[in-house]
Amino acid sequence: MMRHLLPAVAVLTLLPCASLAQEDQGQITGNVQLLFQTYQEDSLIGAQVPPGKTGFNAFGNLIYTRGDFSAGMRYESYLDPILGYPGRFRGSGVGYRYASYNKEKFEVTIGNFYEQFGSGLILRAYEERQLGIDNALDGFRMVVMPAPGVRVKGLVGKQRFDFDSGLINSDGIVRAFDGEINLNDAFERWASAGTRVTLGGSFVSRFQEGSTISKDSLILELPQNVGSWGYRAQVQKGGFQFMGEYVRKINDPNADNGYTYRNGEGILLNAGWSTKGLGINLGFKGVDNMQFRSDRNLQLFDLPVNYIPAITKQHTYNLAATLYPYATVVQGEVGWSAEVFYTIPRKSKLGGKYGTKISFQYATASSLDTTNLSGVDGAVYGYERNSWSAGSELFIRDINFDISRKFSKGFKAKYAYFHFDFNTLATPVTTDYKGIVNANVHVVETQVRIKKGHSLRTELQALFTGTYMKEVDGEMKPVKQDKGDWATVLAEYTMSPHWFISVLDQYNFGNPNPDERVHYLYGTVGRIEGAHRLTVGYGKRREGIFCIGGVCRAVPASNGVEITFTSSF
Amino acid sequence: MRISFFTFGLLGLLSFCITGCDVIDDPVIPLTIGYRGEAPAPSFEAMTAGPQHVLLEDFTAHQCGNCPPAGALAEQLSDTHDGRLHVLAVHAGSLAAVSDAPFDTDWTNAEANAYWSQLAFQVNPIGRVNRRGGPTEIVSPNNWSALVDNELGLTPAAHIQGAAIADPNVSDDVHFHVHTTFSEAITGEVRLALLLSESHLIAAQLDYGNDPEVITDFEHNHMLRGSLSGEDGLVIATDPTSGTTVQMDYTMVWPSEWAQENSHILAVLTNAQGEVLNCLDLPWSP
Repeated sequence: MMRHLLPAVAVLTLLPCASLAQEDQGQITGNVQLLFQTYQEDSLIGAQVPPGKTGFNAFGNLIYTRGDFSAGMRYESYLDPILGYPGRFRGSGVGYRYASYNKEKFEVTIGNFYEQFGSGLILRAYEERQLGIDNALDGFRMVVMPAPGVRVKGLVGKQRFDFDSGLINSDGIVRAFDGEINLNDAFERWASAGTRVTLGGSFVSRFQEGSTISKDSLILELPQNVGSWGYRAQVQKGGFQFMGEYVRKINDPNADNGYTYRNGEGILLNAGWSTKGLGINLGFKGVDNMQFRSDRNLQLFDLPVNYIPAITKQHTYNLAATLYPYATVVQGEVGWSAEVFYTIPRKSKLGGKYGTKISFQYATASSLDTTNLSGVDGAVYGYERNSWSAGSELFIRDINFDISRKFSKGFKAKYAYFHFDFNTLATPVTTDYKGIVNANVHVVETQVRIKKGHSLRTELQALFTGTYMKEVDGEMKPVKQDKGDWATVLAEYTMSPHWFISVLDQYNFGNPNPDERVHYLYGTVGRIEGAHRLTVGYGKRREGIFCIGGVCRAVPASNGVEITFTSSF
Repeated sequence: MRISFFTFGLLGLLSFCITGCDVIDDPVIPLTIGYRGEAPAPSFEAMTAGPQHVLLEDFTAHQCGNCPPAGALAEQLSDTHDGRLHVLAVHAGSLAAVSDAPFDTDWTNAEANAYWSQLAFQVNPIGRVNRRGGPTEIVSPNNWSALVDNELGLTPAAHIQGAAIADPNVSDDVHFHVHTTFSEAITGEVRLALLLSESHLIAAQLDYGNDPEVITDFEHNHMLRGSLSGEDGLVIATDPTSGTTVQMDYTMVWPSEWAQENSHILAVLTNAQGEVLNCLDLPWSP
């Protein structure tokens, strides 16, 4: 193994790129992403200005591949980090490096790697650059395929925690293995079966030094090794598919659960059926004290070992995605979702010439149905769960519907409606209103082909919040919840294949405070040259919460120029 | 051959699953911070002057034939520096394992194993003197005397006063009172561990200097029996300044398996690097 690894790493670092172009010396690929931003004061929106008045994040990947061997690295710069990124990221250096060898039934990786077991409920090492999340493991990973359809993974490593001119790992150690068998590939008699079945099981353990903690008047012994395990099954037959995963975790007192010793448990079920023009998905998620980190004392984005997926859909329209975005309540929640897709056939009376697509989704998440324990049991175990049914506190109810239709070769349109009942106490996206915000969002999107290579896409969006009674000038009056109503207008003009220009205006026209009825105007110009893309933007960005897959980060308000450049080779 | 390879691998994974989980059925340590004695906790005046005490940890084992001379040396040093040198006999390592009689008593415990795992080089007999240089730093018995002398000559960064009091009304309730006065500023967290040792335990010991080598009625003294606060202790102060005083009052139900009359409660104060700032054998009060 080392006979192959060491020369290749040397080649990667020492030889000029040009000499590697020859086929027998392997291949180098890579990409670059730069983001530069200036900051101006803007007291109206509360825009922050860091001391350096600019932010700069850059990432460059280099990957060398030769036969079964590959090695790579990512060079990163935070000079200083863009606001909204972890502020402690500093300097330039190598944040990710690895070498990997894949031969027949074995695959070995040393250095950094990402990994996911099942849906990630007990292990997911991943990068979500837009959120500044990177919990890559640094250590050793081996994948063995001892028989057809059978795959066993094992890994030991520390997680990426910080960046200061180089990678800084956690103190805690993660040890894990995962086994998966595809019955159809593993057994001859299943090979031709119409039902495809995959079964899997995982075990993850974290070691972190510790002895005791004190809580109330008690002194409690800390577990240094915390284990978590899970089982999963995936079944697919024709248009039907089912995925189920069940996980558990032993006593893991940590900052997320208030240092209680209750075992963690989680269940994730998804079932879907589809046929031509129609699809139905049903989902259920229940998680109870399943947040798992390689450092028991950290919270939020730091060192998550696992990932708890969101039950709601990832919205993309500005108002639906950024004002009341759902963040998984990691301490525990239960939720379910139902989604239907239907395409009205083309050339029918309702479907039109090109067909019409409709989708509907209902998703909800609530607190767990629990009973708080008292006395010593309360201090040590916190609560007991009565069932997997919903508790008394609603976290989110998300009902959305959209219909889209292509009317002609040059014109298509879409209407989308969203209704949110959003608990701002569970996900604190605002300080202006505590409780359930009821919001309705309407979106009309159109795309017009002006002429060959020229198109205009527009979005007209409006969000209306509910009202509540508040004392105003000595009288109880209905007042708009939170910051009131919003409107967004987006116009994006594309001149293929090189140019695009867009203008976005987010306007808080219904803010109960007239002084805060602000326009957040932002314009962007971009040029694409093959694999290279450069954009320059200027304007205001609203303070808020930015979420991806139920994981969210607070982003401060800003006003300034933003330049991005991406390229690959 | 192939079956053996994967069977071996599966056994390894199974072993990993078992060892990778510290299931704690009852995490509550018998000691509580909530002092529950009827009488008010004693109060102490700030201690502005006092000697440096020294903790000598003697890593030993009942099947370590070279250990008794080291134990005797520790005893001798303790006698020489009576009241200021506190010996803790830590039974740990492979020579502390249980085997056939007469070595069928397990004298190890979680705290002893934890201290053993901290050592940079694990061997019996070996020691630590005030954990100077950090918990990994080991000291050969040949150097104990000189290092103890050196430590005793230091000016302490903190002074400890305290008492262990058996509750006169509630059977088995014992109260511990530890008062700390910092004589200089300390950076980082300061921890206080209460370690329990027991003397006059009669059990087997291997001794290569004795004939016969197996002594069945060896008297074990200062044996670490456990901690009341976890081996690292509890944080009692963070970045304390000179003059800061902290009093901790604890109550615990005394375990029946420990003979109270032969027991010592050692209060050990450590800094963020794990070095001993000072220590005290809490005097038992009637």
